[in-house]
Amino acid sequence: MTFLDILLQQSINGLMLGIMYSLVAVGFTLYFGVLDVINFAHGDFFMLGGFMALMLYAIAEAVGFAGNALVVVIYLFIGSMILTGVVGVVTERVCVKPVSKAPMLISLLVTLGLGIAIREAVRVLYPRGSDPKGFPTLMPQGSFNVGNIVIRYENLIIFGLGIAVIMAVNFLINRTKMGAAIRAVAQDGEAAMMMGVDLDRTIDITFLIGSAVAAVAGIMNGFYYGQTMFNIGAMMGVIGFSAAVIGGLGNIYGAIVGGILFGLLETFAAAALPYGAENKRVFAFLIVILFLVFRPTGILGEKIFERV
Amino acid sequence: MRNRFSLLWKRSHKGLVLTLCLLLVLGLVAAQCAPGAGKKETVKISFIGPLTGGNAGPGLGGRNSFLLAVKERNEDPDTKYNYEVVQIDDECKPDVGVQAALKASSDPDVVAGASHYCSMVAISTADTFHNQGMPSMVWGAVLPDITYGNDYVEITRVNGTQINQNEVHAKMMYDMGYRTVSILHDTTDYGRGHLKYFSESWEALGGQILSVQGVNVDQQDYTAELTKIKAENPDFIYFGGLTPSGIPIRKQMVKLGIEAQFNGTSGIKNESFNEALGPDAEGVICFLEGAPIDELPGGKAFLEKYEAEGYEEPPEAYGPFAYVAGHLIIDAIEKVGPDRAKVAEELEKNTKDRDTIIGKVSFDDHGQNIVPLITAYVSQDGKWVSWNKSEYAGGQRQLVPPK
Amino acid sequence: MDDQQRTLAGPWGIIILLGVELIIYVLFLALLLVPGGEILAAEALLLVAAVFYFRRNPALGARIQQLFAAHARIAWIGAVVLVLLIPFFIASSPYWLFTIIIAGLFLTACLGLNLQLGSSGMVNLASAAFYAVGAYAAGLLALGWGWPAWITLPAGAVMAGLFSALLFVPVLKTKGHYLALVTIAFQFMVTILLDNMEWTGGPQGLKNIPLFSVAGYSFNTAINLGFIKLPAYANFFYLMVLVVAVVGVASQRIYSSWVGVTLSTIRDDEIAAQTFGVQVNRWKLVIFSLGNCFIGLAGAFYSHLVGFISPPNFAFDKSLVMVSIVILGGMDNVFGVIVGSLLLIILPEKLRVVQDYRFLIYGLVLIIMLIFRPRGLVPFKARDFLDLAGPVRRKRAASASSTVSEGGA
Repeated sequence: MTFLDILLQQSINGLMLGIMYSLVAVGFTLYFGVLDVINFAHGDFFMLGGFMALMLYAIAEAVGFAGNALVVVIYLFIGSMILTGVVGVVTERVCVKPVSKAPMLISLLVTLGLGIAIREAVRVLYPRGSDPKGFPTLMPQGSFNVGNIVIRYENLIIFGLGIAVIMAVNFLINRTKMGAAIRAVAQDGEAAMMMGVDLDRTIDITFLIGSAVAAVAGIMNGFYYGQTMFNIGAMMGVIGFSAAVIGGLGNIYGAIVGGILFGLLETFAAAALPYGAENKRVFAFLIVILFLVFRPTGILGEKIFERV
Repeated sequence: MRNRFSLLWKRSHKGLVLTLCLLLVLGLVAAQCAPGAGKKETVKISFIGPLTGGNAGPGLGGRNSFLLAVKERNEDPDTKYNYEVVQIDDECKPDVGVQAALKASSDPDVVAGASHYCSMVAISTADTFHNQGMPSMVWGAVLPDITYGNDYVEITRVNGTQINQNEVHAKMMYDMGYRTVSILHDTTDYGRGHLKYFSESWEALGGQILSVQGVNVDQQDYTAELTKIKAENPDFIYFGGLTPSGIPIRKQMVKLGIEAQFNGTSGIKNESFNEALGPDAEGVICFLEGAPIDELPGGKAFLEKYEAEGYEEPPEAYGPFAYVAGHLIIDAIEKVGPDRAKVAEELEKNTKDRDTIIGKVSFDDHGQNIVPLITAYVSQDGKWVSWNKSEYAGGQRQLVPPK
Repeated sequence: MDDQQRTLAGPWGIIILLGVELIIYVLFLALLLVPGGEILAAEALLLVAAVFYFRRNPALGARIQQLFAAHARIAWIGAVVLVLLIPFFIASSPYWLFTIIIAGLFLTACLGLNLQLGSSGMVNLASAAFYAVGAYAAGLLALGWGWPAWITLPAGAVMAGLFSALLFVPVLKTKGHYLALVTIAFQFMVTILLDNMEWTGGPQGLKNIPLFSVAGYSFNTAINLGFIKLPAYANFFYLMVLVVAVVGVASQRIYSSWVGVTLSTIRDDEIAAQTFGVQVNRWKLVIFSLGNCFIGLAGAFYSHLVGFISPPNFAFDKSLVMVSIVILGGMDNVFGVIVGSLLLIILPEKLRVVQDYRFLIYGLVLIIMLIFRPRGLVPFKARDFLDLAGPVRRKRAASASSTVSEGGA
């Protein structure tokens, strides 16, 4: 492989990793925009989505429904989005909303506790939940070569789907009436309420969308890496949050930019720096800190003036 | 005065205070009442391992195996004591491990125990067990220093160390004509230990190491590291780490189209590796101390009994070691009585040439099992098959050949 | 009213006060010494019952509070004596003694964290990183240069204070969620680097760090008093009590001085504070460093307590435990931090009886407690600014009448 080949192959690796991060980052951006809450359990919803799909797949296999791969994939996505979405709304009603008015640290801690609870519940309740779980191979496995670079059909599908999901979320938020309500709440909850927006319902919908997107990300992650495990959510949450901030919290396209930037940073740090593989996250987090200090609104964020 | 005092002591408050006192007395009484023992004297032994967290799989497998050994002995009418297991979680974290070790050793009824799957935990609790004078037999941790880093009579180890495993590993690959290797290892001391002992053995033989890359245990994407390896075009890839990283590395290696043999260490020798990878696991090699479990008569019986007990988790690679540890500990207690110092002495000095389901067990003067039996396994049709019995050794199937 | 107060001031008051302390003490010891989970359930029920009871009879609670205020000195002496007696009652269980020492270390660290989090509103989710700096500094100095433990202990604290400088710029330029993220990122950087650097021992960390010894007396020797033999950890326990006392008194002094008021104004409204001439930046940096000093002190203590440190001891989850202690106990409140650290260190140990379900229950308990008591178990009270005049006013009040002064513990 020539230098250029390696560069291109690593860029593809970075983009794929980045799109996974972006999908998690979208959720953070959404929650922060609407509720001013950093939902640290979001990474665990991501994991939960993957496990829901595994469960649905096991059920489908048990009843002998395993025909067309495309049908099964659609069934897994929709089923898991609904289930994870419902869990998201229920947990939001029970434990996130009651503390959304409390100081920021309280909501942060509640969502962290929620993350622990989800993680441990999956581990204890799923059969042999502490082991890594293989994901069924349902995506087309072929590949084609451009020079020495391997491009897999699977990668193209996952990348395309990831961008499509994020654009769909953007459409929902910026082009529909429901989205207008969400944006209104994001700007000023009380004012939105006076204009006739049902606050509770809007918050419910936000969590439904956020959890469903996390589920999509979890399943795609499962398909791409071929496995999932109950404890992958914690790190994913931290990175997703970082990516959302780099891109600009509150901006949906910012999530894409931030996620992909973080993915590329990690990949190239691992590939190019001496001792890069073991220290790539040190490098990535250092960049995060620099961003926060020198451009806290992120790449696509707007300048915010502090109200006195 | 009485009158004024009653301001605080209204009738309604009396109820609260009385309930409080009552509960207190009840609690103290309950503490005094030991559980009703049978005819035999009850002796407690402890089991410590990761029962929660990322390494809970092997931890629970080890626990079940240990419980099985104790159950067998309790059902045996010849045993002098009735054994009760105290199981404690160490979460695979050193500080939690120290607390777990103290919890076990603080209870004077606990005579001895089998402890730890994770090297990091085992090495941090060696001092604790020594200070408390409680014999502890390591059942899964492989770092050499655990037994060789001290002279404590209390610490023994039934499984082998990383040194043995990697000597055999390097020799086998070299003899088959492999010359170049790219090494991946996790940055825990398990992975770094394997890196160290494998590199030493490999370079001593004259093999070449193309690159060494450390990876984080909580990482899922290894494409960056693997793309680098692809460009190096090694004869084989060595991975020192555990299953949760081993699975995605193997998967992504296949997806990136890297044509090289993939070898792991004892850390990937478990059922979930094969289950999660399916056909992609085919031809992966790993190494484990001890004889192949299903080829010894006792081992077969162990697997059958384990099956019959209906445990939820499989025994995993180190289950048999925990099982043997259980038996060795009980043997010692039966012989010298439930006395910590005597049991420690007996375990370290008099465990020689014992026939067990993992082959012969003999402790050296550090309490380390020195029977250097290492078995190579290869993944064949979704199962770990011992190398000598596999179709790969027989020539029906081929590993990825050296370049 | 006058009658009542005189009752409280009399010998009956003292007896009742000591009785209350004794009951809490016995319940606490019973929790440790009675094996099994029933005692935990029973005491949890009792606690809930007591909370409801006091809520329905606020007068009783208020009166007990007055009682403690009236006899602050006796209450303190009683409490100190009871604490010092702990090793005698749990001599049979070095495990619980060790757990209490660990709780004490977390208490020390969290008093520091409380200065940042509670008093001045700076989010710090990297407390475990500074805990690590203290621990590694002490360990490396002791191993490399053979410094004795009584020097490495303050050295660890100072080192953690100096390392704070790495975050000075972010602390001043970011706040809220952004500062939270900066400190999380810093925490991860430190843990990964500890794993990867050779001179800190890599993942194997530092081994054989000498345990405490002063003038030839090793703290690792059991205390034999003739009638009772205390485990070696009793030495560490008394040292821990001393450290906690120093740090606790320092925290309380800071809280009730004009520095504490300055910090409160920064926390409540930074811009307003600045317009009134408070040097916001300077105080932020001072308090951030001082808080980390306390955390580093606890880390150094840990080094010499266990003799072995490695990166997993200082991972992100430890930061979360520390933050949980401060928030759950009650921010800006020394007493709250005490309650929080006892609860969050001892509860998981007690929950060992439920084995696999331990962390599931821990997570759920955390959520439930935060939902029902979002301001912590011991919520901080609004400052009584008149009390700032402090001793002068109190003395005047005392001489004017024999009424009970407020404040105290």
